[in-house]
Amino acid sequence: MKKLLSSLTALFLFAGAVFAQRGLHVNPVFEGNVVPGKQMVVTEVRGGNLVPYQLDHYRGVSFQANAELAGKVSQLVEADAAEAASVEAERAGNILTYALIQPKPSRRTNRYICYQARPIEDGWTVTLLYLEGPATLEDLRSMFEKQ
Amino acid sequence: MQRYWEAETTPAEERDLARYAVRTDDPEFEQLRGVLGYLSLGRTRRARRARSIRIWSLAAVAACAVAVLAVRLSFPREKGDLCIRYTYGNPTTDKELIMESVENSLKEMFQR
Repeated sequence: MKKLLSSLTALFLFAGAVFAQRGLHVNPVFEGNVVPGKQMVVTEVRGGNLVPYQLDHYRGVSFQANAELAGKVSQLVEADAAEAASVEAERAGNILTYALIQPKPSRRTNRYICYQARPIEDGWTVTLLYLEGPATLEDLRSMFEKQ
Repeated sequence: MQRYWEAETTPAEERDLARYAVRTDDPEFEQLRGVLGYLSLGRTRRARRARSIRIWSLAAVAACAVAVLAVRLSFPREKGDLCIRYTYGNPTTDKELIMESVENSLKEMFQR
């Protein structure tokens, strides 16, 4: 019985951690399924360090990509944008260079996907963030405007 | 009483008749007392069953609540701090370095 309870609890905890980000098209990028983990700078912060930003979870990946790969990632971002509560996007021609996406809240938590593609000599430097927490878009904006 | 046996009485009349049948010693009302007693027994059984269902439902809800509470207390959800960065596969947990890059990336995204 105790084993069963332990297993169920572990399952719920794992599910709780994954659920908030589930259903996002950009998930494979964070999971290293689009660009191998060893070709990215991957950052993950959770808990007390994010309190000043009113966030609970920060996930970030940054990598260099050729036009094809950058296009593939931007397509995933665009797919999330199509289902989002709010979207801000910038383009250079047909290429998505910036996006701030607010997917529909999950479990009363605000979620954000931030995307930036900067041109470099032979491609793009792509940065993709997933943020989660009580901070509203206005909170985050005012937080960084003041600094 | 004749109208009662022919099912022509109203509920109010039946209640009056039942009250009278309980009080009187008239042997003519003996059979009616028997029927009323049977009906009364049925009502009591139904009431007991309903009460029993209510009690078991409450007990089931309480048991579930206790089980959930026990699980929460036994295995408190840890929102443990995590601060890690993999630079091309190489991990670092240098909090200052990581938080500086977090701050910079947030600035880039929101300070526009």
